[in-house]
Amino acid sequence: MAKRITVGWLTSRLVLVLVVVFAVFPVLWTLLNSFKEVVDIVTPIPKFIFTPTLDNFIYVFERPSVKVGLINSGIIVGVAVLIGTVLGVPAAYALARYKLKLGDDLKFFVLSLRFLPPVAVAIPLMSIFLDLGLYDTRVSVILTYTLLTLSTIIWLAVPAFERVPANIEEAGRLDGLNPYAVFLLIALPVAGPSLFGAIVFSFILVWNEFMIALMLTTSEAKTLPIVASEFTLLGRNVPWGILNASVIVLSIPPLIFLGVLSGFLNRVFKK
Amino acid sequence: MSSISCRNLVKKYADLQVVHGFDLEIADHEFVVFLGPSGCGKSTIMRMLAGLEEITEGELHIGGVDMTDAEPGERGVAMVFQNYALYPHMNVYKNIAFGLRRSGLSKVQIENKVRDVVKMLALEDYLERKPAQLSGGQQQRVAIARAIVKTPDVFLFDEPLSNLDAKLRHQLRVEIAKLHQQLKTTTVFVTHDQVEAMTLADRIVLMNAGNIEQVGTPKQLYTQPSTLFVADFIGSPAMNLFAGELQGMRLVSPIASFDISDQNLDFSMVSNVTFGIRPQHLSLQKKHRKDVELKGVVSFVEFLGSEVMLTIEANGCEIRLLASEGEVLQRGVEVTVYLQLNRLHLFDTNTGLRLN
Repeated sequence: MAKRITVGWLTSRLVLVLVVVFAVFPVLWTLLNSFKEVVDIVTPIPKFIFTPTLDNFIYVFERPSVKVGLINSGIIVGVAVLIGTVLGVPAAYALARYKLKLGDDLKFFVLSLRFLPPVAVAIPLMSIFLDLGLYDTRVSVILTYTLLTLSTIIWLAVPAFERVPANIEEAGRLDGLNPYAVFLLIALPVAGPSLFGAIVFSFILVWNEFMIALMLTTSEAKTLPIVASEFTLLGRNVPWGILNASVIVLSIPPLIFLGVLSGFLNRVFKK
Repeated sequence: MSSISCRNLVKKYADLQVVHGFDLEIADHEFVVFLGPSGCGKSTIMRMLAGLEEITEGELHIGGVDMTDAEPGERGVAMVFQNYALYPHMNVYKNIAFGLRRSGLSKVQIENKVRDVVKMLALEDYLERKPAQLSGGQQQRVAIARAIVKTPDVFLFDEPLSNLDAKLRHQLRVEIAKLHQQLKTTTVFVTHDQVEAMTLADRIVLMNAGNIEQVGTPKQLYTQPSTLFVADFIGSPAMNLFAGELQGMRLVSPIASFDISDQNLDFSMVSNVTFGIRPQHLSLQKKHRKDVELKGVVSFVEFLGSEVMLTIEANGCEIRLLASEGEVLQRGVEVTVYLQLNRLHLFDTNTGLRLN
């Protein structure tokens, strides 16, 4: 069937293309700039053709602070997302399936964790961690980030479990499954794809988190966003190439995470 | 295979009571249909049998064992749901085999059982498909296969055909009837469709507002409805019902007044009655000496194929009559209607109970 080209169709496509360009172009430009010499970046006429260089990336990766930041970010974000998933997914299932006396209040409380501005959370936590001797440690950041991942995952996973038809779980009970087996063998795989979204979203949220990490760390437990931001302070001349390269380095792990996790889910549930 | 015994089952949600003391004995091998309008409690009782709803009061015995508080998986029941409830993440084979995985059977035994059932329901070509890739009728056949493969003591069907179109519904209805002839497993089948109930049931349990109205064979419910509700609910087209009054041996009503002295009834206490007659038992020809005569005018004609439904206005009331196709009549024609007195149903208007 041939598509008829109408004015409406053309306009909608045009708007779509504009939006895509608007969203993608900065990322593309950053990627290009990360392979440029500073002279190629600061020219008044933007250059699309240039001799690429890996100097920016070499500089970024040779910095010990970047290595530390990468490891810190990996461990902190990984553990926070793991704890958030292991505790949050079953909690969301319980909230979605069982009529609890305080169920709605609990859901609201979980969401309310996200109402406060990060600074309001970070300041009291900072003094608590200072008293406990946990300031500027990975543990303190993991604990704080777990609050974020836990609340995000619960909030997004409750509707995912609510969409699982109750009859399917009842069929499972009639097939002799106990409530835990119903959760693990039926609810979890059926809600899987939506849960995947929740987990990825919480990962990106804490991977990019800046404010709280800035307040809870000074040197030992600094995360990658903090380290990357420090490149702007290198001197009078902003090192644009290095800055762009560090942004690219910062953006790659979430992409890898996305790929690995979706591949894993495909293997487990799509058989 | 098992008998089922429901003893004074009660279901309450907080303060709302939806089932008021349900008593029923279901024999081994029997096919019992719970019939009633939506919200009458029939599905709730089935879910109580399955263990998916808690039993507030009363006792449930399946195969002579007290199952009142048993887990659904321990009751030896298999259930088919209205919306199929197949596991969407498993293919057809796994859906059917899933319930057997915990039964301690070997992989080969499971495979053999699944193959048998799959053959019985002609699902061989779909084993690798996911439920979403099947039509509604195929999905429901998978659901039935999933129930059969467990060789349960009791089958529970919760409006299994309601989501299917008319043709498939008929086809699957016949299939279910044949399966029951073959397997003879005790079956409880919930529906709001009287045709399904009449064609499938050994006995029908007709329910209304959480109470049993009548339990009996389809024929008993049709020919001897014990309450006004049953009379109105069973039979398509519906029975003609008219309010009247007893004056001695005469029944007086706006549409007709006639002598009922040869009806075998006890009406000493009753004066307000409702009488009913099925459209099939009205005729344009006189069949018996005692037929009651009504003069009327045809006000509406519905052509149904082999039959014609006539709506006739007589003495300010409307009465519906099923005539054979040969007797096609036009609107406005004057006719004489003969009412077969031996087919009359008489009810006490106040209590709704049958009088004859």
